[in-house]
Amino acid sequence: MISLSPIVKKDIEVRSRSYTLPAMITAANAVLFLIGLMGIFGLVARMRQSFDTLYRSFLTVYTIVALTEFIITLFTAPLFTAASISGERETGTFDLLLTTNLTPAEIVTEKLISAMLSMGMIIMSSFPALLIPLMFGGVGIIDTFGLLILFLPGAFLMLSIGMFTSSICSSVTKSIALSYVIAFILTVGFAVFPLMTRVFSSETGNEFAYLLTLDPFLPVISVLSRQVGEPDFPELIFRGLKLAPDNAFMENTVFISILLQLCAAFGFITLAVMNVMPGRYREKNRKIRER
Amino acid sequence: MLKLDNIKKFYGHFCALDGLDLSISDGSLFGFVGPNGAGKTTAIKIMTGIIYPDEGSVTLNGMNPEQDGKNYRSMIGYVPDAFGIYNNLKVREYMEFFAACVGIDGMEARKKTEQLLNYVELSDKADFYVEALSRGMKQKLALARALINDPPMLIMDEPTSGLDPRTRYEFKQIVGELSDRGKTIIISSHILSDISELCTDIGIIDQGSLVMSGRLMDVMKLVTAENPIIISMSKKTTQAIRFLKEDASVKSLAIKGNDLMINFAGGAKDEAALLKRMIDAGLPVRSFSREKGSLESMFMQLTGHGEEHTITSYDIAESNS
Repeated sequence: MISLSPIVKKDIEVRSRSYTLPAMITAANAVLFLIGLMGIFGLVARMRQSFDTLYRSFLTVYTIVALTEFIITLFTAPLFTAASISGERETGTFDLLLTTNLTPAEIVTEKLISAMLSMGMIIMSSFPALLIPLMFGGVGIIDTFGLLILFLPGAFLMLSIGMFTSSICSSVTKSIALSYVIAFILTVGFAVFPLMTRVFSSETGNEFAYLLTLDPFLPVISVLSRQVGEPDFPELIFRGLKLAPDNAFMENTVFISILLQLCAAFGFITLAVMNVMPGRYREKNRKIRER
Repeated sequence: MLKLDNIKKFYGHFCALDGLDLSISDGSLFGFVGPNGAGKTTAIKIMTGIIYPDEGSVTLNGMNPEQDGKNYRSMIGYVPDAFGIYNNLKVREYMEFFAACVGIDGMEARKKTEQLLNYVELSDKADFYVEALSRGMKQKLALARALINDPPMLIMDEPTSGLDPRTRYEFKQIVGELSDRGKTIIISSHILSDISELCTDIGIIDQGSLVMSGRLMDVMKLVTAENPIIISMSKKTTQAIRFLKEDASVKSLAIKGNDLMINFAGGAKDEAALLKRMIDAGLPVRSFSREKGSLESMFMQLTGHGEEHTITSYDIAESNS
């Protein structure tokens, strides 16, 4: 029998009695099925009129469903952790946890594991929805499953952002708001900023484009574009921004991006642990007093 | 013994604890008293190891929360002012969760839970959701949770506030029993009558430092010696006021109905001499005694709330007119 740590076991018990997780899974899948089915019905209608076989268009529907699923994953992930510590602070249970045998690192890790389990359920439950546009083939089942696995580093990064904001905010509302600000900067901001600077700056290469490697969308879009036979996404971006990274970088962009995301995630987790340590403000207070 | 040595704690520039020194001996029932914002909760959080002090040291039987983290924490059961309740958990699950957090699992956790719920008379509520319990029941559950690993020390922050008289009485009975079993108990409370009924020792904190501490009886004696003398007159009150105003040993005087309250410099012999002088002067003294010390009056004196002085000066002004 698997022996679960107390916080993971308790969180599973509490979540199993709440409608929140089933409601989230149902809503996410409803959106994905709706997009997938509407896309297919649209294509079938067009095929009936034109007598063309639009196989490539099915892959476009697959891309849209996959990206929608990834957006849902990224923007629901902070919800699972943003309330984990701040919520316990609000109810007064966090101090009690600190008086037990659990260390701050164990508390944060166990909270993260329990959030990852819920997040994993949302991601994996969308597998059938992702397969609908592939009824005529185009991408294999293993590759589709691989794409879902590729969602995990991005989800992990978002969960760790939620954990970090939860450790610094005293209220759940503030923590959720801050986690979304950081998530937005990391995803949309890191994509838009290099493009904006490209528009307003000189003709030379734009080094800000390397920020994109931290963007969780990069590896997903990169793999997705390869799966559906579109031009390589990182190549398109970096060359488009007049950068000439060496071949090793270009060939390993997905791997580098995942590695950087995991490093950033561990950075956020470390900060979260530091923020819940009993001696957390000692150094800060000393500096304030010295000033 | 729990020892706090020159504890300082800052929140930015605000000094919450300013060199707090405190010793609490094993087996004592210690009342920790102070006005709002005096630093009680900060001190309690430092004692439990939830936060560390900026300066100074905390030791419990030679153990330090920073170096002996788990061992130190396992010695203390903590009942916070907020209950610390998880919604969607049943009473039994709540207890078993905290049992697992302190390393007690399986059958042992179940057995402990049964015992403790029985002890605080909540065994019939074991399958109720925690959020459905009344305030008093939640407080009893919090106490049962704090006892899950049978710690030798219990620290309780405002445990009886907001409880109805019956639950307060039951809660005090349990605390008394735990003290009789040899547990060291620290209670922070605003309800001074509870502290004076329960505690053997007391510490009064104000503005981040300890104003007074010691055995409750000794502290009360000390304070009683400084209390006013109450003189009841059967008649001739005006003559008695005139007499006392002229007496050099009387520092101040106040009137409450037929009673005269005097602040008097001197010991028991001087008191007897004053009484004799009054009787020799033909004043009909019905009773003559020092006002009994109460924790409330002591608290007001030590934390600088001069309510008594205000009444005194008002009464004198009225009697002169």
